[in-house]
Amino acid sequence: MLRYKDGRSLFHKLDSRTKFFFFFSTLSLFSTNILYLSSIFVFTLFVFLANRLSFQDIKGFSKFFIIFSILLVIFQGFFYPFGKTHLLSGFPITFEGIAFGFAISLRLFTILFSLAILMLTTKQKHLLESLGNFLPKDLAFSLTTAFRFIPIFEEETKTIIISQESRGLKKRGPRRLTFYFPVIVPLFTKALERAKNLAMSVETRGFGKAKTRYNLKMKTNDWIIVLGTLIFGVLCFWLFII
Amino acid sequence: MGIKIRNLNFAYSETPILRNINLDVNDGEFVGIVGPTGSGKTTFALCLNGIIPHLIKGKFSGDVEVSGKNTKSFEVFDLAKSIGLIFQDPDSQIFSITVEDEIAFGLENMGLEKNEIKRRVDGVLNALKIKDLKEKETFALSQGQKQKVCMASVLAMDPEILVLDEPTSQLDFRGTKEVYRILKDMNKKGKTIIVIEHKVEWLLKYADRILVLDRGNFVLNGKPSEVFRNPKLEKIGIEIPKAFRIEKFLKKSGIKVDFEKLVRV
Repeated sequence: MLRYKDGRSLFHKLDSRTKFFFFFSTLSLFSTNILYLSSIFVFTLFVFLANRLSFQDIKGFSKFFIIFSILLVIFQGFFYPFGKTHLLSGFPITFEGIAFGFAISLRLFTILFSLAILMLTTKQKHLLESLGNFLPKDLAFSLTTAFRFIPIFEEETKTIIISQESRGLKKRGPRRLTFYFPVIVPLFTKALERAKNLAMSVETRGFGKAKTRYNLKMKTNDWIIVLGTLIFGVLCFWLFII
Repeated sequence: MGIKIRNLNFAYSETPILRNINLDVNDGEFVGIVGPTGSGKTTFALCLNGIIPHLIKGKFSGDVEVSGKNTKSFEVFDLAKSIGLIFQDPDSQIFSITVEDEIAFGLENMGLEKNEIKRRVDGVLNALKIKDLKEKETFALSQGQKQKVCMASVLAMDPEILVLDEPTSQLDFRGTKEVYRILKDMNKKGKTIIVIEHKVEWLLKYADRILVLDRGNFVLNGKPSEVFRNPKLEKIGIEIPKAFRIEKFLKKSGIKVDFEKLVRV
């Protein structure tokens, strides 16, 4: 998972709103121009590496993304409706299709790296505070809390599987499809119970009536990054799209 | 001040869970609540800090007054400054990634200054002797440590009354001892402590007063040495502490002894 990783890099010290700005501006939704997308991808990758984040941190995701991208390139190659240049005679693979699939994949990877930069360098409570700028506070709280419970659910699923298997539940064989029912039901029951308890516990500690929460401060570094990202974005747009 | 309960009745749907409870708890008392499973202990605890009737709806009647505030007219948030409730399962209470954030949560909600929050977090970590956990990630803690973090997060808000719902259910002997040591410390500093507990030996050792809850009503109420010697106890389904069982046995054989001093702290 993309969980916060302690560090002392530039992005670790930035205001979370700056990082959100960075995240949104690298989404590169304007165009599928390959040069445009590549330059934003390289820029994001540079920021990723410059903040001493490693590929190890996004291993789980990149596997999925790589498979997905390969499929994307193949499918687009075959089925892109505006393709004209056939690469192999007799086969409906077009150059435009492959290029389009490649562009979409680039965009996906840019989002992955950009999201990783945001999530890996921002503490949960800072995410919450800036999410609170865009979303209602309760919703922002629920979202960030959900992240914290993922490892617990993983742990619980393991325990439930072990206990059901020790009662003779078989993972293989003809009844394989029904395997997950006895696992999911207790998991959900427990999750609901936990949600109820969490709500009570949070309420007990005075959630909902906060007057002053966290102190946000944009420093010089933040403005430099915001300005830098903005200039870079406009430059790419101007060079490759207009 | 303390807690004043008059004619408290509560039912989630049809079956009454709490029946006509009347109770006074004075400031600075250390009260233990025992009762068989399903007797309404947890429901009673939820009534104390206003979760019932504000969050959990049901048939509620009667008055609960905590430090002079009636739970019907004050919200859970306002009551939180007077009464802290620590739930049974630490895993469903902790939601922050670091211990420090978890403890600061309630303080931030109170709207305190940043420096004051820092001071209080450090203070409570020192008091519970878990200073080394401050920067740790919450999901990497042991059950005992999680339990302490839960206690710290409520203690940091500095409520006058502390209610704990089976705080030691997941702890071993050492962990339990540690929790009771902390509670006794807090009690000496003037806090009112109410503990719901199955381990009667510990209540006998530390509590000033024992309440026995059976089918929604307090059937016994008195000093530990009196309540735990009551022959009714086993019928209700509560274990009689070992010392008193031996005492009873010896009495039958004609030997008169008083084990009270032996078991009290």
